[in-house]
Amino acid sequence: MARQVRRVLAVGVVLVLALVLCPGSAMSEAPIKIGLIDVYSGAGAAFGKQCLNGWQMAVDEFNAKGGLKGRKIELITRDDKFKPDEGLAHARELLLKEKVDFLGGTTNSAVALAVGEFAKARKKLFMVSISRSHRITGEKGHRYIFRGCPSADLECLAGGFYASSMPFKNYYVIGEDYEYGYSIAENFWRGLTMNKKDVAKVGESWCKLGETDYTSYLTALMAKKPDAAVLAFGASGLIPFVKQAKLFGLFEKVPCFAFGLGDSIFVKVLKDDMPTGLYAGSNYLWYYPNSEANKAFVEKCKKQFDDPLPSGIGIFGGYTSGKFLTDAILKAGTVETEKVINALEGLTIQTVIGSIAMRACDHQAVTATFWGKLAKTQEYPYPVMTNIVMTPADKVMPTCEEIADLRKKAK
Amino acid sequence: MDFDLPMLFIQFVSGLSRAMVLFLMASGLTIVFGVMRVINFAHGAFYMLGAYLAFTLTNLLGPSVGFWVALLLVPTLICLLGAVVELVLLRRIYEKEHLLQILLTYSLIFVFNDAVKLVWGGEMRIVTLPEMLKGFVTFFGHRFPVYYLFIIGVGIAVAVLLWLVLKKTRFGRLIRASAEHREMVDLLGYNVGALFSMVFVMATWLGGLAGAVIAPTVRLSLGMDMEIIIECFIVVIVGGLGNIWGALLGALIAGQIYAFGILVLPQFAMAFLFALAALIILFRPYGLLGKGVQARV
Repeated sequence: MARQVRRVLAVGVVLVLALVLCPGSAMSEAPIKIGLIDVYSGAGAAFGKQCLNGWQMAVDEFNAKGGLKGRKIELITRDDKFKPDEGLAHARELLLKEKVDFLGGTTNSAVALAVGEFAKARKKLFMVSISRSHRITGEKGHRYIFRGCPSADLECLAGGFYASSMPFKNYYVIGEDYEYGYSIAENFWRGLTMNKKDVAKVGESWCKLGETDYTSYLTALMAKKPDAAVLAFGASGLIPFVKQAKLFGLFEKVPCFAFGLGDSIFVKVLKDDMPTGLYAGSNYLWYYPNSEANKAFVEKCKKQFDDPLPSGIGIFGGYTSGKFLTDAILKAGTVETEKVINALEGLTIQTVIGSIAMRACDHQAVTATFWGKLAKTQEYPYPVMTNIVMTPADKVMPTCEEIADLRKKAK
Repeated sequence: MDFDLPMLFIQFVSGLSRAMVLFLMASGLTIVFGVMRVINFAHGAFYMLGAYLAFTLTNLLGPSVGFWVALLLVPTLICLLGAVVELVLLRRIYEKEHLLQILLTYSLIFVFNDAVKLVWGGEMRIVTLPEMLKGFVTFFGHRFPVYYLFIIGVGIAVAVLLWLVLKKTRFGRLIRASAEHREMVDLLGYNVGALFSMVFVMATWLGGLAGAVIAPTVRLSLGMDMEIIIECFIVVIVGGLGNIWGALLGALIAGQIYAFGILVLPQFAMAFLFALAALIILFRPYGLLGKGVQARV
C-alpha cells in the first residue's frame, strides 16, 4: 500500500514537473518568426526569390550558432504580387494570424511605404531589403522602419558623382513613370549638379510602367542629340528598354548611365544581348573586389542556391538585411521590438565588401556603390564593369540634419 | 521645341511600328467579337503563350534558325490550342449570358498564366533576334532598327492577308455576313458552329503570331499579356468593336498619338489615348468604323 502511494506520488511529481517545465522550455524553443512580404511571382519575382536566399543565408548563420538562447528563426513568406494592397493585407495577416515578431522584404517601393505605415501604427519592426525609393528612409522614415540595402539616394547620388567627373553637359532623362523611376532620376541629378555646375537637362520623358514598345521614346531621345542620358528604370523595365535601345545603336551614340545594370540579374537574363558601352552601377559585384572572402561568398551561393552569379539587389541585399536583423536580435538578447530597434541603431555588420553600418538617425544602411563602364573582357564570357570606382556612402549620403528637415517638412 | 522634318518622319515611323504591334493583337480580339460576340479576355494569354513558345524554339534551335521556325510554327501551335479551347469550352456558352463568357475567358488567363509558370517558371526570359535583323538603318541622319521595319512589314502583310480572306473567300464572306446579320446566316443553313471554330482558330493564330513577332523586343514574364491588352482594348473600342478595319484604323491612330504625344508632352502620351477613347465612347459609342444603330431613346 505504502509502495503504491509512493508510486502515485512519484508519478504525480513527474507530471507536475512536466507541467511546470514544459511550457517554459517550449517557449524558449518556439521559433522567432520573420514574415517576409515580397514579389514571388510575375516580373519582379527574380529579385524576390534571390533576396529570400540572402535572408536564408543570414538566418542559417544565426541558427547554426544556436540562435537566441536556443530559439531559431523561421522565415514565413507571402507573395505581394508587386501590389501595395496585397502587401498590406499580408502584413496584417502575418501579424494577426502568424504572430510574426518582425516584418521584412518588399521589392516594390510603394509596397514598402504601405507596409511601413502599417508597421509604424502597430509598432513592429520592418526591415526593407530590396526597395530603393529614398522616401522610405527619407521623409517617410520613422522609428519602426529600417533598410538593410542601399537606397536610390546612395546609388544614384554616387552615379551622379561619377558622371560629374566626365565632360558631358547636356543630359536627357528617361525613366519609368513610378516612384522608383523618379527617385533614381532625382538623386542622379542631385549628385551630378552637386559637383558640376555647367550641366543642363535637354529633355525628359516618362514611360508607363510595363511599357512594351519604347521605339517612339527612343527616336525622340536620339533626335535631341544629348551628350549623355540617364536611364531611370526598375529592372523589369530596364531589360526591354536596353534591348530595344541596343537595336537603335543608342549606346554607341549617346553615353548612358544606368544604375543597377551592373547587377548579375542582367547578365543572367540578357546573356548575349547584354549591352556594352554604358556606364553601370551596383551595390555588389561578384567579381569585385577580387578578394578571398568575396570568392568564398560566391562559392557559397553557387553551392547552396545553385547561383554562381549572386545579385547585389537580390541575394546581397537580402543577406545584409537579414544580417542586420539577426545581429541586432543577438545584441539585444531578446525579440522585443523596442530593444531590437535600439540595438539596430548604429549597429555595424561585417560583409565581404567591408563593414556596413546602420545609421541611427534615419535607419539607412551606409552601403558602398560601384560604378564602371560595361565592356567585354578576356576573363568573363559576358560584359563586366571596367575601371570600377567605389563610392562609399558617407560621401554622398544626405546628412542627418537634412533628413530631419525633410521629415519635418513632410509633416 | 524645334521640330525638323526628318525628325517628324522618324517619329511617324516609330508610331507606325507601334500601330502594327497593336494591330497584330487587336485584329484577333476584334474579329472574335465581331463574329462570335464573345469578348475574349484570354486573347492576351494566347499572345503570351506564343511568346514563350518562341523563346523555347529560339533557344532550342539558336536565334538564326529558331526565330524563323518560331514565326511559322508558333501561330500554328497556338491556333491548334485555340481550336481545342473553342471546341471544349467556348462552344458550351454561346447561348448563355454574356457574364458567363467573360468569366470563362477571364479565367483562362489564370489557367494560362499558371501553365506558363509551371513550364517556364517565374523568371524573366528574353528572345534573341537573328543577326540579320539586329542592326539599324539611317533615314536622314536618324536611326531606326531593322526589326521594327520588319514588324511594320508583318503588320502590312497581315492586313493584306486579312483583306484577301475577307473579300475573296467564301469563309470571309460568311464572316462578314455573320458579323452583320447573324440570324440570317443561320437561317440560310450555314453551319455557324464550324464558322465560329474557324474564326477562333484564325484569331488565336493572329495572337500567336503577335507573340512570336513581339517576343524579341520585350522581356517575357508572367502577366506580360496584361501589359499590352489594355491598349489593345482601347484600339478596338476606338476603331469599333468587331470591325477589323476599325482595329487597323484605331491602331494607326493610337500609334501616332503616342509617337507625337511623346514629342509634345511626354508625361501624358498615354493620357491622350485614354482621352480619345473617352471621347469616342461619348460621341460614337460604336467606334469610328463600328456599325450599329445609335440608340436614341
